[in-house]
Amino acid sequence: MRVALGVLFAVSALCFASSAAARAPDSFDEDYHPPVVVESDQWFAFELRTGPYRPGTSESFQRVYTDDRGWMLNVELDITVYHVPYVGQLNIAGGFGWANFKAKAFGESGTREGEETEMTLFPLHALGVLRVDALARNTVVPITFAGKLGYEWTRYKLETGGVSDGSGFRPGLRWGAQAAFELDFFDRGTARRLDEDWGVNHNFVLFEYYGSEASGTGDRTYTIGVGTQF
Amino acid sequence: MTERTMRGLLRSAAICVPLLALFPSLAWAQQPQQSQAISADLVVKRGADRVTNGTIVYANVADCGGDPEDPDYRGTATTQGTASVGSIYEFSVTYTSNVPVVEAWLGVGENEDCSTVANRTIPSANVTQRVCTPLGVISSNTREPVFKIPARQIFNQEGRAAETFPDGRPSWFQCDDVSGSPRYTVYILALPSATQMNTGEPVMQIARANLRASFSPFTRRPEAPTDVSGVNGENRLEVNFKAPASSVPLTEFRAYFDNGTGGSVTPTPTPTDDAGGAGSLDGGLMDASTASGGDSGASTGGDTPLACGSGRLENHGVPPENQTGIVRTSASDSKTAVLTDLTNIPVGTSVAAAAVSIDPAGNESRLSDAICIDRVITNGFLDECKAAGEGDCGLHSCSLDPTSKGSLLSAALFMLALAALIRRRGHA
Repeated sequence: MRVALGVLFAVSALCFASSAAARAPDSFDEDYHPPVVVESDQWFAFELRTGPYRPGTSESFQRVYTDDRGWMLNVELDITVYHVPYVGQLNIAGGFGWANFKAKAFGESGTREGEETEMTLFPLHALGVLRVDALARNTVVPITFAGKLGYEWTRYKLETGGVSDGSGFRPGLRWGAQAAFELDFFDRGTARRLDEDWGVNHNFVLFEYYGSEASGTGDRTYTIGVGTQF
Repeated sequence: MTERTMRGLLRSAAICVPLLALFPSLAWAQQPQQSQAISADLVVKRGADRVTNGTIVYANVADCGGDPEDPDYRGTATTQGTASVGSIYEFSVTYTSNVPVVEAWLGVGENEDCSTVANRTIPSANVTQRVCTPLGVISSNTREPVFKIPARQIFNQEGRAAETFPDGRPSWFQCDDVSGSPRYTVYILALPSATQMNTGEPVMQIARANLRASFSPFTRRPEAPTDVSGVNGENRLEVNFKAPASSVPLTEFRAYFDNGTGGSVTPTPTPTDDAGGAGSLDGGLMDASTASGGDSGASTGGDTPLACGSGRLENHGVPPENQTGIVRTSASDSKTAVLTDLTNIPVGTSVAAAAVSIDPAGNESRLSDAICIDRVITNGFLDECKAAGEGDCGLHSCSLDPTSKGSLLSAALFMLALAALIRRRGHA
């Protein structure tokens, strides 16, 4: 019995001794560990977007394609040409998209026939982009903004019953305003590992309101999507 | 024999025996033996078309002596006789080395296994009929023998006609409904020498060199497509349909369009007796739908010809050989056949259309329900713009059409220049 009590005492003493080594920090400065700043190149951004689209302003489009607002799919690649101190990046961007509208063609009597009439758009654009990420870099608000301005060339194809009715290019001004929510906000550790392992600086979801002023194929509408900076 | 000679012999044996053990094929190469290890590939063609490289090939009704124009494949199909039409089946074999003699034998049914000596041997001097039928022999010591055998020699058993038939079998024309169970098997056998031809001699025991191709004749027409509908149009005419429920695989569908100007061939209506079901078929070859007790299709029109303008196709008639337009579509595709060559179909006219399904042997079903499809003027988006007084809806005016390539090129050059600029900045 005396031996057992002795062992118990020894173990207890060891436990207390180990906890006695820890103590509360004397000050905030002592406890603060500054974030590790890793220099990481960031020269590109890529966006994948989709949204409704209704080309042109004609009433005929409404009559033929009724409520078809397509889905305009778009991809865009930004290349940074200048890092603006305390503001963000100045980029040039190129991209292309696709949208298709389809409806039954009208017969002579004005009723719909079995044959389909199609309109397909392939917009190509070249833009200058100012991406402002100062808010996300210097505060806890993970939101960035971008303004875009440039030119668009939209190739269109018209077909009825599989036979071409016409095709060509429509040029016009292209502009856009974007707000993006950076996903790093949810797990900064994972974001940091993505950067270290793959060179991906930031991922974000975006909302963009944009306009294409090309006659016959243009529209002012919104698009949503995802993007990444690397 | 001196001691020195003995030693030389032993030394030679010590060198040669391991070598021969390492390269046994060298020792056997001069004289084919039963254990010779050669292999072969068999390719079967029907006419110019490769049928299959497997074990099952298909025979169509013409190969079986039937008349493809017969609405129900009745007539000569189950009678013994010589088919006037049919294909040539080509059996090409590639062995890994030359084979002195190659023979082709025919076995009918499951019991006639021509790989056994007994089934290739004439039983006695008084009985000249043997179980298997010799189809041909090639004794030119070749590595790539090719047999070209008329289909009727396989299915009508012409080879047996020269022999006597002691068992008194009444008919050897068994090209009737055996779908799914191979009835005829052609054996390609490698033999060691020409002296053993046609006598039932043992075949070289080379498992992989003895090849067989089994035939599964389809002598019923496949079912016709169902639920046929048409789509009017100006630039294309569509026939939509559903694949029938079928016990045999279908490989293709075909749609016939007839506006009355395309060629011969609206067939003369032939009264048929589908109402009698299987009992009216006299045991002959039959349409699959009637064999099951009558038409299962949705049509209530029987075999009434459907006239559309001057074109006409029979409901459930025999497929015509030549029409204004024929569109083939793979069985794996959507069940839509689209006619786009409308040269002979003026706007405002109607076209009769119907579809057939086709089995692996090339047998066509009877026609499906026939429908009328109209070639009508249709207005697309641009037409509607013009009709509404909106011109070209902004598409052609100021269009870059004439310089579109230049425009695209300038855009590409612009992007290229920017990329070069960035690259330069990167290097700097």
